[in-house]
Amino acid sequence: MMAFADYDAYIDALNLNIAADFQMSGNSGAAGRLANLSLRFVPAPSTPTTSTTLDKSDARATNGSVSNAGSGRLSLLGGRINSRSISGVALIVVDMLNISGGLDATSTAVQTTNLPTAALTRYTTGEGVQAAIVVHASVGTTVVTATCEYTNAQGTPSRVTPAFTVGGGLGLNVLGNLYRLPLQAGDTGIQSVESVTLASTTGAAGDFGIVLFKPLAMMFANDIEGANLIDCVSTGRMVGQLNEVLDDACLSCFAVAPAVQATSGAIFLGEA
Amino acid sequence: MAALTDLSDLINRLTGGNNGTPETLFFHKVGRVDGAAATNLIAGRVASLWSYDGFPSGGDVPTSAEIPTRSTDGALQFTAPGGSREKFLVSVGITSQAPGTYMLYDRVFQIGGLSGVSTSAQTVQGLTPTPALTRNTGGAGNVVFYEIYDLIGGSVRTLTMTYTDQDGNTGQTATINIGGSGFREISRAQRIPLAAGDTGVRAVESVQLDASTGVAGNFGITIGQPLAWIPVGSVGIGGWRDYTTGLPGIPAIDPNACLALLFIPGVTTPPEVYGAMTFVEK
Repeated sequence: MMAFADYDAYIDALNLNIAADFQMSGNSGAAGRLANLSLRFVPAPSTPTTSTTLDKSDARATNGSVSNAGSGRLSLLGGRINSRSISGVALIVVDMLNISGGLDATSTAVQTTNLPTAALTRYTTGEGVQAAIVVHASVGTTVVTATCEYTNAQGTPSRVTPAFTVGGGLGLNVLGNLYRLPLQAGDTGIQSVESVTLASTTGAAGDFGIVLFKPLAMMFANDIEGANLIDCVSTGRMVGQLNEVLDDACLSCFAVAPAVQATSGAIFLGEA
Repeated sequence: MAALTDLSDLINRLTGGNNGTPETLFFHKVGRVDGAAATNLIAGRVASLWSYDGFPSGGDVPTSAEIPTRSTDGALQFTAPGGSREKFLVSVGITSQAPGTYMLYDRVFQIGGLSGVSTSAQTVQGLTPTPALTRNTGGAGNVVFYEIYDLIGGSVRTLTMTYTDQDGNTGQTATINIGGSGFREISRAQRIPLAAGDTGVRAVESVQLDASTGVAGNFGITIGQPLAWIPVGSVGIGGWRDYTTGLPGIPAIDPNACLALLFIPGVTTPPEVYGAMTFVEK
């Protein structure tokens, strides 16, 4: 693996202007809550019917037209974020590893439809891999608690999350909402999720599943400034500077925003 | 040990050169503790997120005087640096659904199990500090706060802390109010101001209440070394501290640091937090 030798090498890579663009078809999520922007990408990705392993060829990926690294290391150089809201967005760049659907938000049974999640093909130990419930079709507006069984990064199965909340009104129940799985003490990642159990019905079956992802960077656009340009060393606003993007990664976007909005932009990449 | 030299050195190491071993630690916290909804916060008053569920898990209530480390449950757990290298914090950023200001700190000492009704001197580290600090042992810059683990009483009382300052002067005292509305609720944390002229703490010998608050509850004393303040100005936007834009001055992080968060909320809602920290080694 290669590294950028110095600042000039970084600038040379930035000047190549290799960008993974994304655009949304409509507003996503609820104010202040984590949302999976990719479910509203253009063109629209299909709703998964199994736990689907994701790579750069998927419609949820931004980097379909970007080549894998050759002999070097593909790195995150920055981004351009166009937030539609007047007050910005916190963009979370992720490598989406797999996604499932088909779960019922009225059922209080232990649900295993399309679970366990597909075997990881990147970050295969699960170290640092996070998981969330993802809404594909609106669930009910009643906030309920959920628990999930998962296998941790040490390969220990049947770990049970602390109870966490799912659903709710004000846009918390619609396409793209993410509900993050908290971990048991001592766990540092997730290899797979085996089941989901809701404590009560949300009021509508909807369609939801599980997404496993490896976060790669956060970028912050806090004002309406047209295109917020962010790079690794001069603008601030970025954590995860120069992180590696693995071959075939499904490079995608989650976000937390102060208001529902359709965000567009690009992620800048370069090979050392 | 050597500081990061310049941007070229940093860029090279962030892409894995020279054993830079870049690491970005992503964490999240949900507004719940052990699977139950967390107690509402008090706008404008400091709260500890130590026990909040998330990734990684919340921390336990300490049952004795101890030195937490990066491996302690509840810590934002990074990988220890390899070889004889140091770990540097390049950047940290947070977004949350509750506005406020986050403080990233190294939790260098903690104790729980103190009583809100006892008027005796309650031992923290004792006259001969046990355990003594193992990080930032000189004490300069260390802050002390009490932390409510279980609701104490509604009567406002005065807590007197006896401590050793950054110059090694023992028997220093400082006071702060404790108990009563806004100073008794679970997760409340209240910094204890130091005596005039003091700029840090090496050890806390004991704390003593002037009278009972009315309910024993459970509170503790924590010593922390602040590392970064991250303001999140409104719901759903980000706050960050990017040391890259402030070269030189990228802070070294102790290889055993127990990284944790305090929060000064703008609202009463327990926050959902998503954040990240990037480190590099040299």
